[in-house]
Amino acid sequence: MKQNYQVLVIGGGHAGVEAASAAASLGCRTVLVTPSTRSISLMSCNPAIGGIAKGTLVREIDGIGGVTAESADNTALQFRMLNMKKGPAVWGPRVQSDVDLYTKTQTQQLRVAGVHIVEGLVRRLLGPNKRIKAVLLEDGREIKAQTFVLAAGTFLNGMLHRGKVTWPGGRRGDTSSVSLERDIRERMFHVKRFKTGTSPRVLRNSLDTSILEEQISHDLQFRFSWASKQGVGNTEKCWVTRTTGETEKLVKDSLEKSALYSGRVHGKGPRYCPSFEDKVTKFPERTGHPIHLEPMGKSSRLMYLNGLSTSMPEEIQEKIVRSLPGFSNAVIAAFGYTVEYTCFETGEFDHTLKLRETENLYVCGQILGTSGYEEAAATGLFAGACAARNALGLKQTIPDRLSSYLGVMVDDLVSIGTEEPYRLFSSRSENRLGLRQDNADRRVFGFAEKLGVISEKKKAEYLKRDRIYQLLRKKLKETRFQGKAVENICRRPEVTPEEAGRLINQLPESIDEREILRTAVLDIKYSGYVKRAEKRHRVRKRFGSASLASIEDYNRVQTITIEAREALNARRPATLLEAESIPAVRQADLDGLVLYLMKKSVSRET
Amino acid sequence: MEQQNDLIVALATPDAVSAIAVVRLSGKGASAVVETLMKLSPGRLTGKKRAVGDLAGIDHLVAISWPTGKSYTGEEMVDLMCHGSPGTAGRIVQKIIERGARQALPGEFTRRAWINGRITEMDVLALSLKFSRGSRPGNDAALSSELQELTSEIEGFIEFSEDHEISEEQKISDLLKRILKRTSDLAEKVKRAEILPRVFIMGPVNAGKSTMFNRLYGRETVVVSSTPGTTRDGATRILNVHGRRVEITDSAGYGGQNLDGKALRISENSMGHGDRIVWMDPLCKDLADRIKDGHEVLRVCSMCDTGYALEKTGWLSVSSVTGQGLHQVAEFISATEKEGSSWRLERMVDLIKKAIEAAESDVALAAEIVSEVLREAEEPVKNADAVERALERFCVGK
Repeated sequence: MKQNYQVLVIGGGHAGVEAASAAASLGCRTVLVTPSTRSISLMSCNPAIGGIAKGTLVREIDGIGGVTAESADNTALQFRMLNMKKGPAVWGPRVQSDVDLYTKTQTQQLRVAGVHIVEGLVRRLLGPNKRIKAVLLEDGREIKAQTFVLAAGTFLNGMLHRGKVTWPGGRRGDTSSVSLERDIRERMFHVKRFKTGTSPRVLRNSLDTSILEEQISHDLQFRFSWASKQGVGNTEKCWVTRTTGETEKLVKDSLEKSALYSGRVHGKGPRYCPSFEDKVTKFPERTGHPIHLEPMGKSSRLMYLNGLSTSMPEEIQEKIVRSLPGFSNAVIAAFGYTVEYTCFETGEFDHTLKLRETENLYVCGQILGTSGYEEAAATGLFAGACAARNALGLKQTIPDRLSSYLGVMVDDLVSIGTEEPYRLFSSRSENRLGLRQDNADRRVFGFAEKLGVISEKKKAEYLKRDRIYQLLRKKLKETRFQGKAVENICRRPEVTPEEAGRLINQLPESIDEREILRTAVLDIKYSGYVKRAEKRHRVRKRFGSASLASIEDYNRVQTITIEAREALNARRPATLLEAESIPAVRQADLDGLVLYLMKKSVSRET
Repeated sequence: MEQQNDLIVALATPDAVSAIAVVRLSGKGASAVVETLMKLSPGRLTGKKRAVGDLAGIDHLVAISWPTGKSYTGEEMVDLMCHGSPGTAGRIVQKIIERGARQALPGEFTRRAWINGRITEMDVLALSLKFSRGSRPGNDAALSSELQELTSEIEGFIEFSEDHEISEEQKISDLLKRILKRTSDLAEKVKRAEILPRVFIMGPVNAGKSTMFNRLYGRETVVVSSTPGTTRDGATRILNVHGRRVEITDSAGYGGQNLDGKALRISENSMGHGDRIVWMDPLCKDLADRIKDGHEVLRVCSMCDTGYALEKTGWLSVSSVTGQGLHQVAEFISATEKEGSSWRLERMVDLIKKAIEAAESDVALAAEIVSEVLREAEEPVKNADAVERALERFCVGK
């Protein structure tokens, strides 16, 4: 191929699409290579976007200039705000999505952004590790580019397991990137194996939903993206059913038949998104696990069974499904399975998500060790932007962990690492009350401007909202009620944003204004906590910035445990803060390190 | 880093009544200062020596000196073994400071020992561990583990309960209540055991001491508890002034318009080093110098609303009737350097109550408050300045 691309993205999933679209938005000639152009941004697991912390992340993606939020709005079938009774900081917006429509919408986003889409399977990378020159496709084509983004998801030597059956594949019905994975291993990058699983899909018309509890959509006129014109409505029904004692018994009796429990799957899976086998094993006394029935699309005949991820043989899966109330005649259209795949070891990539050994290869999504569409999309957006900035010779910018979940996630993945697929939790942030879904655009705007993906139009829209916000803050500060500034009244737990609005005589005229008022009042309510979090963060940073560069061999540091010496020699943290985040390094070891450094500096001085 | 071998001094034993107390001096000129104060011939305390005698008329004591390189700190060092009354040791420290020494920072003797190669880093860490154990009366292992349990319960509730129904609200509220009880009990226990910073309100009869005491007691402060059985000549109350727990004694009944010697001796005996004095007199007559030694004094010109009182520089005009000046008095009282540790527990109790309230409608906020409780309960497992903290875990003088 003759075209002189600046950015080449390998993979067309949730990470790849954001990466390619971000690179193109920065003005780079961008190409996306995917084995199947019909499966762009395919939701290979549950048909939903958002959730606790994840939904907030989607709104951050919108604020930074990504496409996921708008696509999710435009393909939503139902909306729920999770955690509505647990405080605004942990509200989790989530939509049920039309899977086919989502694929089409995301493909359209790529076209609009001007991304060139090439169908093909990458066989290997060409050029030395330090500077990758091109990719070679299985069909012999060679595509050159300046920078590369690897977004291979679960495809790197992906192996699918169900019962005693194992076959190669990155996803049901798709091929596996075996030779690209071999190339990566041969290039001596450190890799590990992770696993994840998915649930069976059943035919909608084989179920008796009349006896099931319906899940109601919340009519809040919600949308992830400020650019979306309409709030998400309710066009499809969802239901909940519960496992019966029989379901659990079936699983317990057949555990040795499960791919997961027969000892053939070695990768580490997520604890928080457990397979049904895990649930039954870990909570043996419990029955009545909720199973959510989610339509795969408006015109889809399939229902996804959220909560029933399993790698049991087909005949057992059938029995399990039929033991559920309303499912006595259920027909499984696609069986659940477990997928095992290769991803990079912590320490291989830096805070711009570039592989440390290379100058121009970026990684994002599941090969970073993440799980979830939202995590993939956000890291994709950032990696794509970094790759583009690299190609354009621009300075890099890194999201900070105090102002966004993206910052938290990138920092966690780089500094702490993960021993199981990394999912975002609200508790991963030390500034949870500050990182809310309602103020996502405000928090990331500074970063978005620097990163450069956000469009001029979106910027102008933001500034318009910011003016309203500033005006409201001014009014809240200056208006007095019963001798007290309304701002101070806002801090009382029982005062709602609506009440504060009434006190300053500012009844919101539009949904936008209502949202902005909410944000203004919540910002005031939590400001004390946010300030304290910032202060703690500063202290930590100051302490942690002490350089460890002068320590060549940790075996010589007598003041720390042998375990810590090994871990530190292996990871070679640049600063004390990075050392702190290594699990094997305990508080006493940190004290020991500082003593060692101080001793060194004292003996140098005298 | 601060200057390394300047002369430092501190009480090396607990600030309490005991048979013997040790005041330690380390750094250049340690021997010379003691020689002067004990009226010994120059050089008498050079090298490893011992001298017995009177020090500046304060106490009869034993001085032991060590030469550079042979002492704990590796510097020129003198230990003074005096009688173990806080007032005595305090006055000795004060005298030495007047001779140009400086109060040692927490952990400074050990830091010097380490820098001078007298002890290894391992020793520092081991010592740090030894001294930190039990030194913070809020460090209750059961409390910590309950708080940890609560945290994971709350996090499970926030992240998973909608889909997986793993955590239950009831459990969180039960745990919160259990922790509240444990913390309150602990606070009570510690409160009974701790030595509080003390403030004496002194002055001639009819200076308005009791009126002001009652004003502080009733308005500016929150009564934490009264301590029956504290039999002093005056009324003693433990008050929480500006967030500090302080034992305040209203020394009403002392002396007449002119303090007699006996009353002075009584006050002297009950006062320890560092205790503060609020000296009240509408006529602005200063108290005897003997009492002032080692105590910070706030001079208060009382009853300033009557027109009967004077105004004088260095004296604060206060009226318990109009409230003028009372705020400054409270500030002086709360600025004391000692800190009662039950105050920290009481803050935890307040926070837990707040968390219980928040848990109803804003669990995320409750979680934030609980993490503040955790930070209060134990030193954060991994944060802040490691060695400074390792060293600061020592009390001054260790």
